[in-house]
Formats: sequence, C-alpha cells, structure tokens
Amino acid sequence: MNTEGSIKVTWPTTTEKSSMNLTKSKMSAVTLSLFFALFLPFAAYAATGVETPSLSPEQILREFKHSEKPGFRSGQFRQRKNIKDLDVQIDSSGEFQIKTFGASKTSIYWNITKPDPLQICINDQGIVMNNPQSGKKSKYKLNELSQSQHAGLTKILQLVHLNPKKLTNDFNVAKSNDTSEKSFSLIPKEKKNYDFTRTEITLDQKKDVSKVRIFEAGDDTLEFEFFQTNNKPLRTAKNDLTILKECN
Amino acid sequence: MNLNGFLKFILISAFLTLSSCVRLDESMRLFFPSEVKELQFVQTQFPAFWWNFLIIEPKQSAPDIATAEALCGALKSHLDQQLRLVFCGDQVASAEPVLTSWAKDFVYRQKFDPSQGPQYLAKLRSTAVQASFISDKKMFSVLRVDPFQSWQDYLGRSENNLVSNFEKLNGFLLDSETGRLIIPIQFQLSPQLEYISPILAISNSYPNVFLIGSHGSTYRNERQVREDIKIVSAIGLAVLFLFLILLVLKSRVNSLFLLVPVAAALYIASLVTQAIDGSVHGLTLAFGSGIVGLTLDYGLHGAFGSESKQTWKSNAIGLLTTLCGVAILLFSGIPLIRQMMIFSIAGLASGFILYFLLFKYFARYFRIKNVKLFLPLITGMKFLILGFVLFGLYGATQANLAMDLKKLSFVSERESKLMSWFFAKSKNDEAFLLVKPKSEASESSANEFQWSQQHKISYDGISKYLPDENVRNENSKSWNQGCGFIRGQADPNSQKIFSPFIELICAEKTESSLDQKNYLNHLVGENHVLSIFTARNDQDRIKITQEFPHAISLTQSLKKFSVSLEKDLTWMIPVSLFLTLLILALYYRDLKAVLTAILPFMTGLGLYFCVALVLSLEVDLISILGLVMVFGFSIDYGVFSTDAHVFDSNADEVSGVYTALTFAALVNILGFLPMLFAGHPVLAHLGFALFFGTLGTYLGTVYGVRPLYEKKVG
Repeated sequence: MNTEGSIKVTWPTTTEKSSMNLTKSKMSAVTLSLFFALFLPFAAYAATGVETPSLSPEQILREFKHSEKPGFRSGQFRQRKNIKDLDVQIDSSGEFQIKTFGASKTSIYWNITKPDPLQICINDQGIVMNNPQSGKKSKYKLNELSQSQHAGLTKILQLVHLNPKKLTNDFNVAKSNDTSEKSFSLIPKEKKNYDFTRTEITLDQKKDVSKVRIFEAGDDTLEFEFFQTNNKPLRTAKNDLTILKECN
Repeated sequence: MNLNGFLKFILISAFLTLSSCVRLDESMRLFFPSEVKELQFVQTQFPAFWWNFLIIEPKQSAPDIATAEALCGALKSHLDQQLRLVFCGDQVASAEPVLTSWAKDFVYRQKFDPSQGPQYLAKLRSTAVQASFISDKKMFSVLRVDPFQSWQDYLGRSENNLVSNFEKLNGFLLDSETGRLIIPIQFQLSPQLEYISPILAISNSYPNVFLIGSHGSTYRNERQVREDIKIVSAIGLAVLFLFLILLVLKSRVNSLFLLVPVAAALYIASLVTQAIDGSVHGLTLAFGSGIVGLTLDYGLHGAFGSESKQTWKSNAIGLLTTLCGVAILLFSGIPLIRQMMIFSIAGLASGFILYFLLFKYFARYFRIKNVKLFLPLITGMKFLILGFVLFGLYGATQANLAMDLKKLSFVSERESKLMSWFFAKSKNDEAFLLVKPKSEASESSANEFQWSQQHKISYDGISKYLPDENVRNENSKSWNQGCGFIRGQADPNSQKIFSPFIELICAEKTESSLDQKNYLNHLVGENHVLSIFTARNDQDRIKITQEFPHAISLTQSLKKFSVSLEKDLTWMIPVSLFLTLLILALYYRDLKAVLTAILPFMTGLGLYFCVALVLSLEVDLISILGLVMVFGFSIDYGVFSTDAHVFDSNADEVSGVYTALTFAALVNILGFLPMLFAGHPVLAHLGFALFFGTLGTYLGTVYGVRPLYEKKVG
C-alpha cells in the first residue's frame, strides 16, 4: 500500500489528551469572552435600532407635550399587517379621526373603506365595531375585558395619543438618531401590559404621529400611516355617523 | 406468653386482619339514597354538572382584581389536566378547543348558498382586516378556522342564565351588590378527591377565595370524613388506653379477655358486610364498631353474673330487643345507615353467639370477681329522672322528622351563606333533566327542541346546536360547491389566512361522533345524552312534566326522598316500639316490669333533648336515627336491671348486674365520645344522640329502675 503523502494519525497519550483538553477549554473561554465582549452588545444594539439612550421624563414631556392639547385630527390612513408565519400582508385603508379631550382622554375612529367597509371606534369606555355589509354592530366594554385584552385592543389608542405621563410610566422611550425624521422607539417596561415587544413612532413636522410600526410576538408587524391630515373633525357620510357619534 | 403479650397479639392481629382483608371505601357513594341515585348518575356522567365557581370576596369593599388575576393564571396552568375550561381573563382564548370544535361543524350547520358568493368573499376579507388587529395567537387560530365568526353564535346559544345574572369586570364575573368576583371552572372529571386537591390547594392559598359546586362539596366532605376518622381513631386509642389503666388499677385485667369475642365479631361483621356490599365504608368500620362493641354488654353481664341462671335469658331478650331497633333501620333510605345496620346485626349476633359458647364451655377463664362499681343512690335523683322521662316524652312529640339533605353535607357557615347567595341568583328556575341512550339522541332531541321553542321554555340539548342528520348531510354536501367557489374566487391572502377553513370545507365529509364534539361535551356521557329544560314558573313545570314524565327535577327528587323517608320513619319507630313492647310483655307478663324495662330509654331520650335544648342542637333525622340505636341497647339495660330485681336474685347478683352495666355503660360512653369531636354533621349529630342517649340510659338504670325495686332488694 502506498502511504506516501498520507497523514499519519496517532492517538494522543493520556497526558497529551489532558493538555489538549486544557488548550481546548482555554480556547473556548477566549471564544466565549469574545462573544460576550463583541457580539452581545452588537445584538442588543441591533435589536433596539440605532438609538440614543432612553429619554428622561422631562425629555418625554418636552417631546410630547403637544399631544395633551384638546382638539381634532383627521385624514387618511393606510394599515398593513405582516404575518410572518403565513407570509401574508393584510392591507386596509380609509379615513380616521382622533379626538383628544385632554391629557389622558382620547378617542379614535376608523372608517375602513378598503378592502371592505368596517367602522371601528375606540375610546376609554369601549370598542364599537360596525359592519355595514352584514349590518352587525358589536360593542365591547373595556372594563369587562381582561387587562391583556384591554391593552391589546387599546394599544393603538395609546400609541397615537402619546400622553407623556403614560409614556413615562409604561415605556422606555428612545429617540432615533435619524435626523431626517423625528422617530422614537417605545419598549414596554412590563411585557404583561402590552402585547408587543417594541414600537417605532414617527412624528411629522407638527409633532403629530405620522407612522406607527408595532413589532409583535413571532416577528409579526402592524403598521399605520397617516396622511392628508388636518386638525378638523372628520367629514363623513350620514350612514357612518352612528359610530362616529359614539367616539365624540 | 403473658397476658399483656397475648392482648397485644390479639389486638394487632385483629387490626392487621381487618385492614388486609377488608376493602375500605371512603367515597360518598353510600351517602345518597336510591331516590337521588339517578341524580347522582347524572352528576357523575355529564360534564354539565362539573361546573364549579370560585368566589372571591372583596377586599376593603372593592373587588379583589389582583387576587382574581393571580388565581386565573394559576388555574389556567391546570387546563387539560384537572380542568377543562376556566372562564376568566382572556375567555375566548381559554375556550379555544370548544370554539374550534364548533367551527369544524360549521359545514353541517350552514348550507352553502351560491347566490351569496360575493358576501362570502367580503366576509373573508373583513375578518382578515379584523384579524390584523388581533395579536392573540389562540384567537387568531380560532378565526382562521371560523372566518364567518360563528363562535359568536355558539356563545349566544350556550349562554347560562345563572352566569348572565352577573356583570363583567376585567374579564371576571362581578356581583356589583357585594363586590364578589366569580370564576367559573369546569373540571375534566366527575368529583374525585385526587383531581380536586390541586385546584383546592390553589384556592386555599387565598383566604378570601371559596370553591362552591359539586367538586368543592365532595372535596370538603371527603376530607372531613378522613379527618374525622383520624381523630376518632386517635381518641379511641387514648380511651382504650385509659380503660386498660382502670382495669389494671381495679385488678380486673382478665376482663380484657372479653375483648377477644368483640374483635372476632368485628371481623365477622366486616366479612358479612363486604360479601353483601362489596366493600366496607370507613364510617361503617369506625362507628359500626361502636355498635358491635355493645356485645361487650353481654360478656360483662355474663362475667359478673356467671352464677345466675337468669343472665343468658336476660342477654337473649336484650339481643332480641336491640335487633328490633337496629333491624328496623335496615329500611332506611340512606345506604350508609343500611350498611352500618348490616354490620351491626352481623356483629351483634356473632358476638352474642361467641360469648354464649365461651361462657358455656370456658366460663372459669372469664369469670370476674365481683366488685361493687356503680353510682350510689342520691336523694332527689328520682325527681331528675322523672324530669328526664317527661322531657323525653315531650321531645318525642316535638321531634321534626323532615329530612334536609343539605344537612348530610359538611359545609361551614360561611360557605353555606355563599352557596345560598350564589344559587339564589338563579331565582326560581328549576332544571328538569332527561337522560336517553345515545342511539335515540338525535331524534328525541329534535322533538324536544321543537317543543321547547313552541312553548317558549329554555332548553339545552343536542338539537340546540346540531340540526338533524338529513339536514347535516345536505348542508355538508353543499360545501363541495362552496369549496370550488372559495378556492376559485377568494384572493390569495384570504386563501392563505383561512387555509384551515378551506381545508375543512374541501375535505371529504366524515362527521365526528358526539363524543368528539367538544362543544357538546357537557351533554354527552359514556352511553347516554342529556337534555335540560328550565322551568321559570309553575306553568312551565306543569308543561314539562306533562310532556316529559320521565324528566327528573333535582329539587323534586330531593323533596320526594325527604317525604318518603319521613313516611318510613312514621311507621318504623312505632313498629319498633310495638315489637319491643310485645317481646317484653310476653317475657314479663307484668306491666311494672315492662315499664321499668323501657324507663332507661326514656331517660336517655330526655337527657339528649335537654342537652339539645341547652346547646341549641338541631334534632334532625340523623339524631333520630341515633336515638333509634340508643333505643336498641337501652332496652338491654332496662331488661338486665329489671330482671335482677324481678327474678328474685340475691344482693350479690343484683350488685353484679349493676357493676356489669356500669362497665358496659362506661365502655359505650367512651366508645361514642370520639364522635362528639367529628366535624362532619352526620357523625357529630349521631355522636351527640348516642353519647347523651347512653349517659341518660345509664342514669335511668341506676337512679330510675333501681330505686323502684329497692324495697324488694332490701
């Protein structure tokens, strides 16, 4: 048999084995240290986006003071839900109205026109849904629902209102470094109170919310985009008034 | 082997033999009379009766949401183990298996209508948009299989009148008047201690939480019975130990040989009972032993009066009259009492025979040197005895024989109040239950449902949820076309999101069996199905009972049982009394002797009624059953003492009889003493009647019978 060029393999002795193990364990320790030193901060950085540290309560108040003013905001919206497992995007659009009554009270009205008509009103009392096609109107009182259901259904209300006190209490708020847009990242302080892991909010030049991107469990996302907005009540068809009245 | 060694050997052997040969039963099976057996069957077969309710008392006058939420989380961790459903917090999520099962039968309930095609597609898109607001995975998975949201229809159909009386707060049922929160839970299985324990462990960790319902009640009763048996055993052993010390001090240790036939009689009684009932209930063993222990009376009477020829005649008459009292209770409606009586009769008879044979052939080993051990005569005691007799007669006329089954259950005052409050919410609603074999389920339920709709009577049965078979077949076939339409017309997103629904309508239709339909689970038993009619007034009651004569009403069945038991007792007691008086009359042929023979029973009765009055004890059926037992053995005391005076016995023989009776009474009183410490109402009520009945009997014997014949003795 020609053994030229072949590698001769011999089993190490016990002493060699232990020295090899030692070397291996040293190597592992070094690799592990590198992992902790380099990768983890990077991962954490990547997970929270390119952000500065959390804002202080004073900074939050300064950034979102505007949202406490009573008034109307209405316009068009686009909504997109990405369900990663199913590789599906659910798109809908229509008109909206946000009515701010004061620092902690607000209501939101969605008049979904596409793909099919559906009206939703959410306020601090409950949720009303009206399906004009089936004629079905459902009402849910928020105080009847569990805390997690309550939080899940009213999250949009919380995220478009941006009450500074609520933000300070419930979220770690960080400002994005991106200078072209004013955007913030909100991470719930207590996971049980919110059914999402993180939210990105973009404000327009009037400091109103123009975009919301919610990161849910399982990498699903829900995005809202507001455009053609003004500070007037929504002008809507007579047929849609029933639900809108419940929001006012 | 010395005497102590021998005694130890006998007692240990008896216990070991009993525990190894006798199959012990600790369930509540024997607590229920035949009249409520059907109800018991229904309650163990159908999950509709496995609902229980956790009541959370308010804290500082406000609903205790924090405790409710903690409790809700802990309970949900037992879903699919001990619990089937827990309604709190995210209720739809916890009902996912039920709602999914309901959704899977959509094709059998609804027919595909091609003219509604565009509406179907619009509903799919609309549900997809609604689903985009939902981040709860369980709810999302329900929507995927139920895009037309028929689950709302199910919630409407299955709405419970009792539950709908409450408001809702943060995912919990709330009684706004009291601030109490309610969490309904459904167990996976019928009440059994091992399944309930983990759930009770959770609720017991909160002082303001109580579980009410059949499982909660079963747990409390079985636990109490077990605790009672432990206490009774401990006190019984202590009493036995003290009694042994007394015998040692009085140098009458050889009287302990008399325990051997009692141990043998207990063994025979256990074997006979097991041969008849298949097992022996722990309570029968604990308290039936007390009755069998009465055979010791015959042994003591024989030991102290071994010289007298009258002794065994008196013993025979005593046994006969005792059996009269005990045997009549064989007609009791409560199986446990019947089993105790079988045990007692077998034990008393075999004990008597054993003593008779022992004294006939080995009398010298059992003879006890006479000792004057009885209470001295006290001036004026006869007035007290007369008072007892009169009070006994008065009490007998006032005793209420009405039976309230609730009194058989161990419930604390607080729990009792909670249960009354909770079930009062159902107002005067009365449920009528109809049980049928599964083979008849579909047809009969369809007729019942139709009838209930015509008469506007609330109904819960298979047909409320499921159309008849022909309609189901027709509906499911129509979805073959529906499958083609949805696959061809629905947008790609809808097809992806609602793929579980599309798979369902396109699959070959093989309908699941009734057992597999989770949403019908509450109405489906092993071999039977259940229908429930709810009567809201008398008119409804009349209509239901006329149309469905086999329908069982829980309330009516309990009333029937109570009435039939009352009727039974109204003949049992006079017949027992008559038979005893007849035996005594034939035996004595003398009125005074007959009256003195029953005098101890009257004083026993009187003392018990006095104690009941002072301690505000309720004289109920259980106490009366105890008094019937007292009647059985108190006649023994009357016969033994009367015989001692009537049949020209000498002073020593009279003294021997009273000493024997003192020993016997002491053994009986100490034997019944542990029952006073029982927490279960059945045992405690029985204990009070037996303990004070025996004490009164003894006082009546010493201070009633004896002074009446004192001149003759003198």
